Amino acid sequence: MLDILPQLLVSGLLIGGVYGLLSIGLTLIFGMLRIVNFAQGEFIMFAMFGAFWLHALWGIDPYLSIFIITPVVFGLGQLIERVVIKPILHAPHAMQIFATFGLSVVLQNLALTFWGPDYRSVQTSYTSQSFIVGNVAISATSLYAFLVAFLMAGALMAFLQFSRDGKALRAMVQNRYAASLMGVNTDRLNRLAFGAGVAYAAVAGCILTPIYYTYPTAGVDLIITAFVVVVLGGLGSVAGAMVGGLIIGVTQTLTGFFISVELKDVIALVLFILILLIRPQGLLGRAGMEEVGTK
Amino acid sequence: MKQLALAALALAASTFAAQAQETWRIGALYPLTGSLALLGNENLNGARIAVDMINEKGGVVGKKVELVQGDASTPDKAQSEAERLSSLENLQIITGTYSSGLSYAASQVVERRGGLYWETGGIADGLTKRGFNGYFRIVFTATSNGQLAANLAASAIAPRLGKKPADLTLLVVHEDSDYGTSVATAAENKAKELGFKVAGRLPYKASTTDLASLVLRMRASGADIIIASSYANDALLIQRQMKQLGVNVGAFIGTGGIYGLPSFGESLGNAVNGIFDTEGSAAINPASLSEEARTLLAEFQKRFEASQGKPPSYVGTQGFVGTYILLDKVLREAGSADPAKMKAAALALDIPTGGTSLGWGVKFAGPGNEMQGQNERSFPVAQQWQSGKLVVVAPENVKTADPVLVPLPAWDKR
Repeated sequence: MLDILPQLLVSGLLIGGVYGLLSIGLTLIFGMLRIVNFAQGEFIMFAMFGAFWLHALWGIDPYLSIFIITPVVFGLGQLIERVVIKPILHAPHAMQIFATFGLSVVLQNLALTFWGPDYRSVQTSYTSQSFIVGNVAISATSLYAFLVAFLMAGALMAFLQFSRDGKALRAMVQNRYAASLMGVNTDRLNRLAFGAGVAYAAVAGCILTPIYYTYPTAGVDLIITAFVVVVLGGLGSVAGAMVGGLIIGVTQTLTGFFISVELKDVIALVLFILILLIRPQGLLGRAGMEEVGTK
Repeated sequence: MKQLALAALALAASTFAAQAQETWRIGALYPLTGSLALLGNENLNGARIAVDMINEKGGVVGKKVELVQGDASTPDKAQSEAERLSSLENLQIITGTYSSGLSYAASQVVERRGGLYWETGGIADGLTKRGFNGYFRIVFTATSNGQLAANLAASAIAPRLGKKPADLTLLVVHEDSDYGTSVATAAENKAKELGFKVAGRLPYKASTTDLASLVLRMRASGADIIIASSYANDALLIQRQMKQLGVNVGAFIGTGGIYGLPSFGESLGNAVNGIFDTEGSAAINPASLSEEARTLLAEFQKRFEASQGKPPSYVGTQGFVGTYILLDKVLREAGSADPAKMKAAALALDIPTGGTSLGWGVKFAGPGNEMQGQNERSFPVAQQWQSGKLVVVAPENVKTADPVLVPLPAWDKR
């Protein structure tokens, strides 16, 4: 039984990387705007459709389509921030939830109207490929998703730490009014943060197109775990999202094999609750983060 | 002024009544949005063609048929839409619903109001175990589908693997909704009865994003034959992760749903060949169909392809077949939308096997029967993906080809 452990750990880490990838944008938007974007999954779904069509019509590889789709979704995100998010930025939480949830319903049904309910898939030379190391098989598509997730998380953390806009964003999160008095254009930064958050969803969508079916409600199934991961890692913490993703991924895979495939999500959720009992702010979150700041 | 308003109202009411007299209004309840939208729409498109064909031939007893559709995307929605159709729209006859969970919710409302519920797609056994007088199901049950999968393993697969069932390990995996559980339980029980070494029955959530643990358990079980009831992404994950993790089996049987859809074939390319699928099929041997059933099927397929730009799947065909019988046999015979007459006409139906375009006959189990309202002459068939297409390989009297690729070639040779 134990000779399978390395395989289980590798498989768990790989899917954990995917969870991290799905979570970064969500935690970024929460960290910067204090808004839980319930439509995040739909941006992933839109990117998946984009990657699917670019592949179906012009044979563009889903990984290459990242460079086409991400800027488009980034722009779209800025527009949506202006129309949907900005008016509710200081509204009660319930209203914010309705707004982003409504956005998700609209996007889902737009996809249903444009592209129909069919399950679409992209087949490339690497879709079911794997690398064998010793007696461990490493799925190529999951490995790429894993690597991209860490690359993207690192890039975002560096951006927030060192760039001028990144510093301004952190200042804005600490104190919105003080920042704007110091000449920080908070409207522009909000747009930037939301655009970037959904652009991360776009990257995730393109990366996942060779793994999953693309259909109008694809985002719903993908994003559920991401919400857990974001809270586990600490709301607004990018590093936390990655660590949280890995923990959930490994837990699910181990319990799925040794205990029950059906209960693997439940057991991961129990672990999630236990961790929150000890660290209510999440693994890498700071106490009161939902009020104050992000890392 | 008041009188004028009353007169206008009366006039409006009479025109409305007159209009209502001109057509048969039938409720059509399918999931048209949300996660079940694909097959819900496919089912409805099949039903629409049945209505068109009936109307072009002059309707039923001189009146045209009109479908009043409702979107039953979730059980809650199914219930409220059934309420709307039966009270606000005042419909006595409702057809649907593709998914068993939705059918449970919607048919309760219709039964309580004394109407007729005509199920063309939901297969959970329990639907016809409720003793409802107005519930009729044209399609086969989950149990018969699961049993067929196990029978296929014993009759067609075991001999080709050169072994007896007692020397073969069989593993059942399934998504854990009502559909997957009931099909898989029936398959498991039948497989045990047939003497297979059953390594277990592993449920999982259809919404899962990773099935490496399931696939590794398949490998650890040493299974020769896998029977799987899946929803969508899970089916794709199982196949792709089996390939990635190098898990090879002698045969793989899916039990309908995604396994019979073109999307499944497209997502796997050549690797789909050899996978079995048990459900209904319009590709059964035409010689087993009556002349009328053959003609109707050809006409339906032509129309579906013209309007949808793709050939109908089994699900679209079952929507067509079920609705066509409802209109052409039950409603025509009853001559009235009165539920009591409709129910009597349904119970009196006696269509021999081969009389419908899916090869089924129609004879409903009557009151007092444990499966009241179940069509006793419907049956699933076993198909196999061969050269990228599904062909019927069992049972003997309806098959068009023999099973091939047993044992399944290893992944690196597919």
